Amino acid sequence: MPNQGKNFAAGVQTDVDTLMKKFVGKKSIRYEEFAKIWRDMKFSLIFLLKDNERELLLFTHECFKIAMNLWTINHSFQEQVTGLYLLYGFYVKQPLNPPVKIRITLEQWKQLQEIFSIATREHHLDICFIFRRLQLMNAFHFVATPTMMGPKSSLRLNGISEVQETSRLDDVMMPLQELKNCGHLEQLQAIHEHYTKMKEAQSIDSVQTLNIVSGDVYEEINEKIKQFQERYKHPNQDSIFDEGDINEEDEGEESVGTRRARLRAQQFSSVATVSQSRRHRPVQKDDSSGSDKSPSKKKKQQ
Amino acid sequence: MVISRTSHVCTYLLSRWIWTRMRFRSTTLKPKSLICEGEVHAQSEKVTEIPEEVELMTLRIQKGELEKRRSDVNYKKYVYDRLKVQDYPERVCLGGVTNSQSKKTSSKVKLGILSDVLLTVQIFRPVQNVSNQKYRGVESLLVDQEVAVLGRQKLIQLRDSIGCVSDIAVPGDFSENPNFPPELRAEDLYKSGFFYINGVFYSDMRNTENRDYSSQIRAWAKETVEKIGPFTSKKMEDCQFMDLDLRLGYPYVYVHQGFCEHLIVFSDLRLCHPDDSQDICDYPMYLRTPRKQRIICMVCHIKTSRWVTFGNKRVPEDPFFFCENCFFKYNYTADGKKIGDFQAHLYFDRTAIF
Repeated sequence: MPNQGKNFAAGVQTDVDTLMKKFVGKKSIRYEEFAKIWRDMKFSLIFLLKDNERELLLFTHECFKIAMNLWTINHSFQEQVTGLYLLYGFYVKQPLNPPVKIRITLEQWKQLQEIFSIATREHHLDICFIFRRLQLMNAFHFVATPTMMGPKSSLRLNGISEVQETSRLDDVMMPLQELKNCGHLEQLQAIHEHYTKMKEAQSIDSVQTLNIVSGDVYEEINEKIKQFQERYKHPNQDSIFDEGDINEEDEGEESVGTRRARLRAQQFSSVATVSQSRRHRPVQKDDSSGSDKSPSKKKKQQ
Repeated sequence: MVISRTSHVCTYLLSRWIWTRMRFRSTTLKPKSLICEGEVHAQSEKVTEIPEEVELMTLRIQKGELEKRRSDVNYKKYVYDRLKVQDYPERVCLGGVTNSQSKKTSSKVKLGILSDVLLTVQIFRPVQNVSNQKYRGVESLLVDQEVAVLGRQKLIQLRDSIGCVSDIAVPGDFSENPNFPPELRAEDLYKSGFFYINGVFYSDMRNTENRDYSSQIRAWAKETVEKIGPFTSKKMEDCQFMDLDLRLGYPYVYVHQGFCEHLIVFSDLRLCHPDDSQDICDYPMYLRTPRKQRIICMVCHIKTSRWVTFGNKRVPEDPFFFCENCFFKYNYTADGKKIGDFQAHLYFDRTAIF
């Protein structure tokens, strides 16, 4: 329990996924459809049952974050539009007064502009309207980093706990991967094929029609393992251009120690480079901080 | 191309037209399309149960959470501790007015701060004796103050806004003449100070008597075997925040009174917003002031302490804190003569800064 960040928006991702499934199922990107699903699910009531205002504040920020995560490039246009509608819904339906502003980084703003440009090109006036409305309501706080930085932020806590979670997940996934790689399943499959062939070659009817084991049992097992691995793949390991098979093979060959070291390096490198706005700025070398790996932040010139 | 641009312009104009017709304020708009059944009742009274026919996973988990907090006190403490995490700013908007009518007030001069950036600075409490056994369980990184500064403002403005106990303290032993302590505070006597940011010492040289603390440090750095530095020195009053190369979340140092060191962290950077105060005199703006926990007189346990004695044999602890009344009644006779041998210093509590 100590040294672990607490997720104050537990369950929101699940609800958003449910809403998404329903919306995608309708095969429409009209706001009216979205609003109908929102009303049916009574989504506005998601802000209820909070203990105090501070919890509500953190919860609202997390909701915005979850909605904006849908704008990344590995989501379809419909999912990105759902993200925008959700953001609008969360912003106008939040109970706090004055309303909590949406903290948007440069990267996310670019993604939003992309969506807006596609919407204008294809004449989706409702998407344009929602975006303009949010702008005119001054709903955005244009920030450099999604959360505040410092020794008291939860990045320090969550950074550590995320590594712990991934290593726990690996404790589960590793035996599964070993099972897949060690060849036992292949051997059993070969035996099963041999058995099926021998069964067919038999002349006695009762033997031929023996049906204790289904025909493609090992294929099913393989398929299920693959699905399970896909479902619980850690988002940091995900890459649009990676092929799933190559990833899994690499994982199987690494030892636990190297995997943990890799995750740690990944985690701490992601913490250091969390500022999105630095991408379009040149890296400035600082003489005094020679051992630092991450570039120092350059202030916006007026 | 022309059609898309026209439609883009049309959408924009349409929304603006609707905007002016409705004349709403950003805080009160609630679109009808998203109103859900049961929402009106939920807002009017505090809800403790999940409303009927609502199948949101969030609410189910939250209900379980609340029950767990009610049943387990330790878990509740843990959760409330986690709530103190400083991920997001506590104050939603800076400035007294929160609606767009603030722009219409003619008394406030708009100084064009909308094109500027807002930096949030966290100033930590100065720490001594970190390795001391006695203070082992105590959290040493405590945010004392949080200040919002504009990018165009100078470092001296931040320096002036940092309030520290060591600044307002009056140095010297006044046990012999307690009735006439001089009003000269430490900040009037020792005015020097510097910020150390990225290998550069920004020293406050506004006053001709101010010393450059960094000269000694730079000389020492040159002589060390490990070759630390080289460091440079600049004037604090010449430097604006936007000239600095800052790293968010990275610790910097502010030193004053010779040895009082404060950790400084730039925690947040964002563009100015119309809901923020447009008056430049409001910045640097205090977002958070120190905790109101005060040191109470150890005799009466009612008033805040104003005096502290060292080496006083008639009291059980050293140092011992007194309020004004108790100090005179206990340590001096009716004639005003000092009883016993001790040193007495004026004490200014942290709560006296603001």
